Amino acid sequence: MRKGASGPLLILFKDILMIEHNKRWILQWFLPVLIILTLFYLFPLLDAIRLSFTNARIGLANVKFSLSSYEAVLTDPDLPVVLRNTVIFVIFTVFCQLTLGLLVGLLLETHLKGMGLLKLAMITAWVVPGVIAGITWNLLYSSASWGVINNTLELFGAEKISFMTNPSWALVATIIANVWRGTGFSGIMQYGALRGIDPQLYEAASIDGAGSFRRFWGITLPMLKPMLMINLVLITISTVNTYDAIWALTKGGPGISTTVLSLQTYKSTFLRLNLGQGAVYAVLMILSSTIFTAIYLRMMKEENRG
Amino acid sequence: MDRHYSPTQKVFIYIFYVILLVFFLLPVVYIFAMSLKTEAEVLDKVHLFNFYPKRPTLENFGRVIKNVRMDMYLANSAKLVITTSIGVLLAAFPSAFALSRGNFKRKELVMMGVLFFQMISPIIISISIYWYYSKLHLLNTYSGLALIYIAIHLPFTTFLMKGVFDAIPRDLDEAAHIDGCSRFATLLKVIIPTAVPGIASATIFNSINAWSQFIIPFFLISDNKLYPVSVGILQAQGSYQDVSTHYLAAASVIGLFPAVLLVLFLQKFIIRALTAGAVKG
Repeated sequence: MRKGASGPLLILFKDILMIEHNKRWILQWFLPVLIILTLFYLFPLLDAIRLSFTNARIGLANVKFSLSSYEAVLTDPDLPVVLRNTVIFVIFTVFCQLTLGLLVGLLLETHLKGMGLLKLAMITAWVVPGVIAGITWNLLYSSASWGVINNTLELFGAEKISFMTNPSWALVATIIANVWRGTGFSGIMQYGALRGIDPQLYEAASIDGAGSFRRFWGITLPMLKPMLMINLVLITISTVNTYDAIWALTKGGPGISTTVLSLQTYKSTFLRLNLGQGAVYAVLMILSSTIFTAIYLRMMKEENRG
Repeated sequence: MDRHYSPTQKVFIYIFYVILLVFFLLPVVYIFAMSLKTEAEVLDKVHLFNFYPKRPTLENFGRVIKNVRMDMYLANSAKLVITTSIGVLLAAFPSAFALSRGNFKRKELVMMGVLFFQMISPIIISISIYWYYSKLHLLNTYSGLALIYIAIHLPFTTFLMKGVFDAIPRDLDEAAHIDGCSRFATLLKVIIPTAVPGIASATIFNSINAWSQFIIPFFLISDNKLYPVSVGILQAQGSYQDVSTHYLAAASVIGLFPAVLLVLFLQKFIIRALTAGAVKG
């Protein structure tokens, strides 16, 4: 991708329009995708960026171009908290999903008895709609009679944790629920990658006397690296965009302690009916996905050089 | 591949196994258990080892269907899932065919351009879609909703189907061409019938995603007669006072049951769609 994110887009349209005459059929066959993506993605995306430079509100008649929305968002005392929540939420979710996914992948790869059930359980968690995941974890975390986690803690003599009312615990609780739901994706991909590793590599290493730990660091991890990097980017983007599970679990609370950028975008646009400021938050969401991805790509490049 | 593990290794493996299995299974088993409880039983303190229902009842399901209208939300979701799965295939087939069989420069970049949209959250596009839909009177309409659903699932489906078509040998195209088939007839009569397993994979994958879709209907629909399950269930979360946990659990079970059924019976297709998507990212 040169020229950043807009590069492929420009080339996409230029290329499709300039296809040689005898290949015009290709253009026609692209029409459905081209029309739908332009109407529902490209146009709304550009329009969100345009709206961010206006004072648009739902119900406001004369919309003017101004930087007032950016000013309001950037000077909002909540913004540092929301950004901090987003960074913590994304980094810990992504790290845990990758690690647990790798662990599940390794377990499945042993082909010991019962591993099929683990795979099934992990995929089931992944297909549970986000809202239902949020509702379920909210019940699990409860301090009431049905709160299994707290009652089990008590059973072992530990103290109850107020997951939903203590700001720090609420963020931890949100991360755990999100890891539960998201690990299936990373687990299946890493299992697929693990299965693709040539068994002869392991055999050769064993003959050389390498223990299982050294085989893991020397063969498994390096072979998995490309898949881990793809996973890292995909999971990060989807975590920045996560909305439904958090909304059903905490509504962003207590206070704003679990409000991440995606929830703040919703609150501004649809609760405060401020399209301009909502659009600014949307732009911040795109920026954070881009920044995270750029950091990974930089890391990858540096490692390849070193 | 057959590897052998020493007893100590096996103990370690199974310790991790049990922890992870409980982590992944507990919430789903728990919500099923809660949905079968009576109101009195909900007030009994439960912990990890006793949360199963002692006197299971199906009454809660009847109650949430009648009071929260889960049946209506289910029907709405089913309608949306079916329209989306069919619509997205119709839109994706021609482009996937062109991407697979067409010969043009920078094909990779076109693919990346299509997949680029996959990165954009529905939250971002819904801001201005809300604005335009309100002017076009498409807010609170089923067709308006279905169109966005199709758009959301289109980039990945195009990508997936391109991969499926790529795996079909070109000899088949040539044979069809010699028989006098046009490109369109080749796609319709040769490629699509051969691609059925891949199409099934894409459809199951899209159905699960469309079933879970929350942001778009939550943002754009205010008429609760049009709510899909994912949004309607929030009504259940807010509509009961006092002890409502068993009802909320029953509504949740209704909402996740179709997805769990798909996993139980068609796991292979889901995994195939997932891994196909990952190979090229």
